[in-house]
Amino acid sequence: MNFFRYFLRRALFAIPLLPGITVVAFLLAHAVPADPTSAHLPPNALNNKEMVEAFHKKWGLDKPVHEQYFTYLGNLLRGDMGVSIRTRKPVAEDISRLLPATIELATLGILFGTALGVSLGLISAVWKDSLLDYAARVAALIGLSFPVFLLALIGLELLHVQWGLVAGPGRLDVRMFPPPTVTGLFTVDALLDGDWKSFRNAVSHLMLPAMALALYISGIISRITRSSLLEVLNQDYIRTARAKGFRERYVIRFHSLRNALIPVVTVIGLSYGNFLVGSILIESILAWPGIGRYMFLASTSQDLPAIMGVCLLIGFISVGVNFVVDILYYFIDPRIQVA
Amino acid sequence: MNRFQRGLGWIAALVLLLGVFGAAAQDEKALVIGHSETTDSLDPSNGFTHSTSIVNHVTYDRLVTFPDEDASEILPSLASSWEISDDGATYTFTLDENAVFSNGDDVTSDDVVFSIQRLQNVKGNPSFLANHIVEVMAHDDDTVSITLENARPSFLSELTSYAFSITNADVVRANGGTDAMDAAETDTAEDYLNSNSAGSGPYILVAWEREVRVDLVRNDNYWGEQPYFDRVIIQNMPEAATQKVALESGNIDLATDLSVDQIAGLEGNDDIEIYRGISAVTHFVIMNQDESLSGPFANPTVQLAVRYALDYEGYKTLWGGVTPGSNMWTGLYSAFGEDRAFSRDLDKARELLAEAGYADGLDLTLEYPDFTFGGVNFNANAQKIQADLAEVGINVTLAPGAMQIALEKYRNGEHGVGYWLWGPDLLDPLDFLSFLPGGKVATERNNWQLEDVPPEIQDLIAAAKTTSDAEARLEIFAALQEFNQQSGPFAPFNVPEMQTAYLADIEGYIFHPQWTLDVSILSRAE
Repeated sequence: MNFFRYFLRRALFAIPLLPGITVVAFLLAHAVPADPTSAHLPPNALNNKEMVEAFHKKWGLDKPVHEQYFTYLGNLLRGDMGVSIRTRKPVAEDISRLLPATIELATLGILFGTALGVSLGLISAVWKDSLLDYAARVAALIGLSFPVFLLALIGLELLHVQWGLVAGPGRLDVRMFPPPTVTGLFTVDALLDGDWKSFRNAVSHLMLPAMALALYISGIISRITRSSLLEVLNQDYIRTARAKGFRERYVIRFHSLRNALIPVVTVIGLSYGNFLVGSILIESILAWPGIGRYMFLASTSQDLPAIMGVCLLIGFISVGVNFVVDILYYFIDPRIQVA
Repeated sequence: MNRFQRGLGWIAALVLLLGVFGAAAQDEKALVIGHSETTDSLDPSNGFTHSTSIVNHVTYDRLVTFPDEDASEILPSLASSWEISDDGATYTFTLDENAVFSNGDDVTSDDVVFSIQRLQNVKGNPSFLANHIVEVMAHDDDTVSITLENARPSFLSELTSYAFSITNADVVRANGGTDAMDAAETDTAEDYLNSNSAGSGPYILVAWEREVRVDLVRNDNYWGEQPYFDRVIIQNMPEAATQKVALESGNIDLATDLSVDQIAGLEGNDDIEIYRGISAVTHFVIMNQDESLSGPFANPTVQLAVRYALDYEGYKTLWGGVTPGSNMWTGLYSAFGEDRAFSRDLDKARELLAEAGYADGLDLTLEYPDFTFGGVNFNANAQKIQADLAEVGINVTLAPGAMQIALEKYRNGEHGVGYWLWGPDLLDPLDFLSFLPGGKVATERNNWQLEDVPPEIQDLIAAAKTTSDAEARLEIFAALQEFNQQSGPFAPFNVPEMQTAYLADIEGYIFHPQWTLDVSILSRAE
């Protein structure tokens, strides 16, 4: 199958998922037995019929659910995601304001996590049952079993407060101002502005949350890498390669690793998707103004337009990440190319 | 592998390098507050949250205000003086002629009319506060009158709320604001007011990045005393644990949301000052007036005996604070101070019990929620009440309940003897009427009816609801507090302290029950 046909087929699979997401999200958000009115009006105003009616009218809550849905869908098709009840800003504006912070963090987190996880998995598999293997497996277990918020808090206390190696909460020092917005990624914007001081500061602030995410994810990645690589190393063609007299390093790099990477890429893709729709705990503890906290605050305050917006975003990202992973398979797994 | 190791080495080197660069020192005097942001809006007519209060308190002025430290009196602000009509329903204010907005415009009566009518008509979250207002009228540039549905002695206290902030009408109008009847649909100024202020306070709002930070700079045109800091940054830190770390590392000057445990962890740190002041809640024992529910504890003599039996100093040792002899929170105008507090007198308590016919002791079941509020644990206090009362022969059985269940019983007045707390709904003496017949706690929750009290007390309660004159109110509320101390079914025993932590070089911090934090009175030791 050539690349173009493969690409098209994957893309066609992805499209019908999105409208489906809107229906499910809308029904779920409305099925919750809670009323946004009581979440957003102060208790004393709830006794005031006029104010409650004004609130319902303003947010369209006085209409039947199906009518609300079609209004929403109609607006969505015109590119309007509605206005958040909580922030009173267009949801699209909220998301585009918060998403860059999350992208910056998720990307660095997944890069660190992959580097660490794949290396640990590789060490474990190559030197199976050695001391190195045990050490790497214990490290993976720690990453897996430690709650991520605890990693963040310990990191904050040790790396920031005690040793002063990295910057603390937030995206920049409080007394600094963000670089002019181009991409919303502070590191990139600071570079574009030629502002080295802001760049260093932004990177330093990224370190702690990215390392916490990386430690957390590296546990899973290293375990998958290890088991997948061990499986491949037991295959007949590896025995053949070794019998042909190739050096072990060559066997691992060119005969095993690429085949072992398929499940690893899947896990990395899914994790990246998860990071992108937010790491609520990390974002809360390290005061990282990203999409995770927005999602949390939207759902606890029954902010229907924002909940819908975030659900769509999650759907879009999941579909997108799966799509990219599928495309990567094409390059990693030659069987797809010949099928 | 080598490449990986080299990579790790690079990362480690980078991290080390970054650690070396601290924040650059700046000449500007800046104050940084770590705060868990709850802001819904910074538009005075739309915002109604704790965070809105902190910001708008210093970006706007109101007609009247409270002292820096409590709510013990009403002070002039934009209004230099005021008169109250004989029927108590019309308030006429004379504006201070020096008052100017941050852009230099005079504060006029038109601005007052606009601000209050806009609050009413945009139907935002705080608009209910203006429900009782019938008319706002400008008489000349500096005179404005507000007419209410009926006499409302708490009106001046209500006017201190940040919802009644006076905005510059011209500026708000120019940015889409209106005070017309249909403002709920047509007013579009909220966006502007979320990133700019249009007030006369000591600071100007220059930026609000939602859930990230608020930036305030000093108002050079401020008509009052200039604040110390040039810039105030209110940095959003949703987690209290993060605020604690940021305070310890000196990234923030003051943390607003630390728990009692976290503050205890800061004790002994020389760089950090811990503030302890009076909170706004009262812990009290409540004895049902319905004899079928509380038995002997419906008897006023037994109730008084309970008040004499409690070890007030002991509760103060546990939680700090004050031990008022009235139900009214001590920081409120006309409230009894600590000099009028009850003190423990076991002989007197035993005497009163004997007089009521219980010389051989009696049994009591104490109902309370299994709950901790502001660090104060109900179980600990209940055990202390048990021990206190045992000394005068009252044998207490503790009956803690799940919050929601206990609360339901308490709200419906179905408890016998309970232990609860009260935080004022309104920072005005009128709040005390909740603890007198006809009030929320006394009647709805404790079955204490108006006909149960002498006619002269009934008259005083009626007068309290309509009298606006400050001197007269002082007399009325003193008499009512006196009555409640001697004959009421409540035994308030502690107003615990509240705590905040800030860097040791910050000066002037005071907790205020209305706006909690006034950044304009803070300074840094030099």
